[in-house]
Amino acid sequence: MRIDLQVDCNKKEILENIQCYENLPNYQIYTALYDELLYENAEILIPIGYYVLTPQLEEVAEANIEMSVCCIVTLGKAVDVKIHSYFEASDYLKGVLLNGIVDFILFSASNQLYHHVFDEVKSQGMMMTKRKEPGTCNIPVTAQKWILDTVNAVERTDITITSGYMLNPTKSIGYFYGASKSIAYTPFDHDCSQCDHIHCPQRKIYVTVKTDEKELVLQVKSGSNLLDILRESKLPVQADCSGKQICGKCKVKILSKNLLPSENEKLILSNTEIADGIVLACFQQVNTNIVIEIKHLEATILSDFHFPNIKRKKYKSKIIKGLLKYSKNNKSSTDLIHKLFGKKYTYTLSALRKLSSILPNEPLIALIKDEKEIVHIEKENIKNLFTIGIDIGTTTIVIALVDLIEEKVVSMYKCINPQKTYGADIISRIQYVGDHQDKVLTNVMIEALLKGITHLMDTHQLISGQILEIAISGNTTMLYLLTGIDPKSLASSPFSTTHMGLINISFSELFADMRLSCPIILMPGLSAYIGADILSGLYFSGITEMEGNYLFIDIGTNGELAIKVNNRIICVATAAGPAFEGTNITFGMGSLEGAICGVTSQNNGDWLLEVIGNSTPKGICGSGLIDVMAHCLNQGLVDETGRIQEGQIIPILPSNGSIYLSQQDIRELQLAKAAIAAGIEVLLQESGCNIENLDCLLLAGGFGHHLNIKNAIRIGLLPGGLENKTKVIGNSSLGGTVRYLLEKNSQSTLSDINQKCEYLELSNHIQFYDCFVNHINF
Amino acid sequence: MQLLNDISEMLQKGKLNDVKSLTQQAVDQGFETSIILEALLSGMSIIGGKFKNNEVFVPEVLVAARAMNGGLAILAPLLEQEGVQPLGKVVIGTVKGDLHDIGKNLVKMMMVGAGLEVIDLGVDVSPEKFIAAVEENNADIVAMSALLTTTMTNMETVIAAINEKGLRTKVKIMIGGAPVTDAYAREIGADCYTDDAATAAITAKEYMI
Repeated sequence: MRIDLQVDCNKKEILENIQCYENLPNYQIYTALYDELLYENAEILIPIGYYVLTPQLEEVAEANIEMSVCCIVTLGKAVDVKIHSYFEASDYLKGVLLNGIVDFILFSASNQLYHHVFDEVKSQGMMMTKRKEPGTCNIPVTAQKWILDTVNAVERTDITITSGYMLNPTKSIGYFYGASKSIAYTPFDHDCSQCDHIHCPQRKIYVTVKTDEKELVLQVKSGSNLLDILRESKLPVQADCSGKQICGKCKVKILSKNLLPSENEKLILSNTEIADGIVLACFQQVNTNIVIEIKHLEATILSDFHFPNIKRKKYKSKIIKGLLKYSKNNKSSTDLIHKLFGKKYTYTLSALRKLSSILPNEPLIALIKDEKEIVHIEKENIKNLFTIGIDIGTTTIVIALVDLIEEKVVSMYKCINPQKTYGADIISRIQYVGDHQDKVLTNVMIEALLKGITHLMDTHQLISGQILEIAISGNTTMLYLLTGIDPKSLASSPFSTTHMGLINISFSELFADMRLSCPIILMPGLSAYIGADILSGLYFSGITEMEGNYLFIDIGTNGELAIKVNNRIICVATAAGPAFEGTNITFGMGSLEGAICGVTSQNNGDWLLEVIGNSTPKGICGSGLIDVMAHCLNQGLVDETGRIQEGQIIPILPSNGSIYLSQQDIRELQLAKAAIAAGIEVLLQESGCNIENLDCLLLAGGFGHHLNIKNAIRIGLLPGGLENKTKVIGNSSLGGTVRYLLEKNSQSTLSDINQKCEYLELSNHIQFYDCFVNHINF
Repeated sequence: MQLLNDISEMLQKGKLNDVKSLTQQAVDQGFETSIILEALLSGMSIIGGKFKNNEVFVPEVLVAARAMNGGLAILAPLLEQEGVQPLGKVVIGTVKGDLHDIGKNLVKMMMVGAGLEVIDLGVDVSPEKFIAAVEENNADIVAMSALLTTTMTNMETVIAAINEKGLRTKVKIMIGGAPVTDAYAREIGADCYTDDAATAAITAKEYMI
């Protein structure tokens, strides 16, 4: 069998194989040369695979094996000639680089061929051994001739063999598999650990990963970075600083005891951790087989929001008692419906299909969206139709399956944003995209959303036609990364954007997947840092349509604030940084299981810790941090300038001293709270409002959930006087999508809000800086 | 002398065009050809040394070698005119039955960079061809490469042929390639095995001094 195989290249790996490392000054030149070579030689880089089933060769015969599959993968003579010509022209780098590219393509092509061979062998009721290559694993080099002769006897190849048993063209590899009905499945094609080519640049090693629920074995390139390995396998590991060796969060336990922390890691890890065999993944290059353990990130994600009260419904059903009596003049069914209702509708294809199957005398029910489009038709009783709302947060993703007839959330799917392994905050992710030029962040997001949607559909046994629409919200960076719009300009002044309006798109176009066929809308935003999440949140809160004065605060990776006074809505984004989500705080973490989320001070001054999930404390989240800070101030452990009065740290979990607050942590907290407090002050000034005249403070996001308002006021995060005017509204970004999906003409309501909102840039605002400095002290 | 230093510096940076124009400038200014050649070779020798110490990587060596070839191309006709003799002559090839030449090409590149004249016989080279080339060029060194254990044995055949022709005392024999080892070199009576191209060039140069 002859198979045309794909050209598969991993630029970074190929360049590294010939020592073109990313940190070399000329790396850009090398990558440009690589691109040029691939382009120039596209016509000759055509990998072809052959395989032929044959009885075993006696010299290599094994017990329990009946058949062999002889395989050859080749690239043809032209490649040899081309490489040679580069050397002749003294273009050594081109020669070596093309050689590296070609070797990679060959190796990858052989991996592709494996799947074809495997399917064929399996279809004949057999399983395969690992790959056997002449010259390794006690297989004589002379077996190469048998492989070629076997292939050439069936396929007409131009491949020949030299007296020294070398295939010509040289860019060809020959090998075989044993095939038998009486052997078990082998998980790997080629087993590098058994291979004699110890200097092979393609050589792989094994990383066995144990998580709480499973154990899996990864075959990875020797010398790979451990964090990269875990990222590529989509394994959950926290890497707040995106692998820059700063944050110390990508902890991995080495069970095989053969990787030790470097001196620099030891500065970050505690002695207990070092003794436990913990290393930091981003520091470690893996050159030998290892067994590791990682802790699952999965967690309690706070996703609650009160279901919005929908007054004007998006979907209405109309009953038609049969089209027969209207049928005359050879009119179409849709013409008859128009005549009946005196209005022209548009139709979805699935509605038309259904309509075509209903007889003219039969009654039918049409579901009409926004009084414009007939989206669904049933003979009787329309039910079990759904829409999906999605909120993509920097840290977490929540997907809500909404029954649009019953108007309720049927089920929620929550997961950690898989991009978290590429950096905790959006800036490090944008940097990752800029540095790597690949679509990995888009791909992992698409995969995670598809996984979540499929999970919800499977759980409720839904089929494609039952999902009518999807609405997605998230901050600007998240939506750009999802859609593959370059986010680079969002990361630096003047923070320009490509598009902020609502986007209508089809499921298949966004996801390159045919699972669903419904439309998707991406909620509109206002600016780089007042994204769809905030606009969606404002829409959900309803304050834009209400009388009165409101302050809206969403503290997440940044602090976004909006004020609604009379007819004005002013939004600001404060660069509060992710301190309240745990980044940059020694024991900081998100609102996940094991996070200390609340601290109360007992009469004797001792602290009582409230931990999410009531489990062993692992760290402290934003609300816990605020409580600790407030108690420190009340008890005089820290003065108003933020200085720790005695010692270097404030122990939080003193029993083993493992969780504490450092002086640096307090400084981070001061900067974060001052930014938000200053933002609030500027908003009040700009809108001409004061605290007394505010009707309500709305706290959005998971952060508000555990927040002790008094303590937030005590540390100066929120202004005094709001104690009894605060309302926690939860995940308003997700709530906004649900409202959008169910409310009539929501698209125009949303764009009205979008029009109405004013964005105030704080980075060049004169008063903001003064306010910020004033708020740094406690 | 600044000009000669610049040639060496630019070569180490792999700047082909700069090396070419500086070399031409040196020729035009009347520098002795052998002195200009020395500047090129010293630059290459520094790069080779740094490579051995892991201070620079493969791609830097390759671009430096390319730059050096640019300079050499300008000097070559002058050297021939002046009758300047190379440091030594090397006959190099991949042995019979073997078609791999990347490693051999890199060794050739580094040897040229060490000031040796290299006669490249290509791949799949028979013992007769090796002998003929040694005799014709009055070679000082024979360098052989092989990738497979099955082709490696042909190195022994070539050495036997050299012995038979009575040429063994005239030439040093160097071997290399994936399956080749020090022990194998001793076993078949070669003078040395070298592990990488830079070492091969340094060793060859030492044989000639």
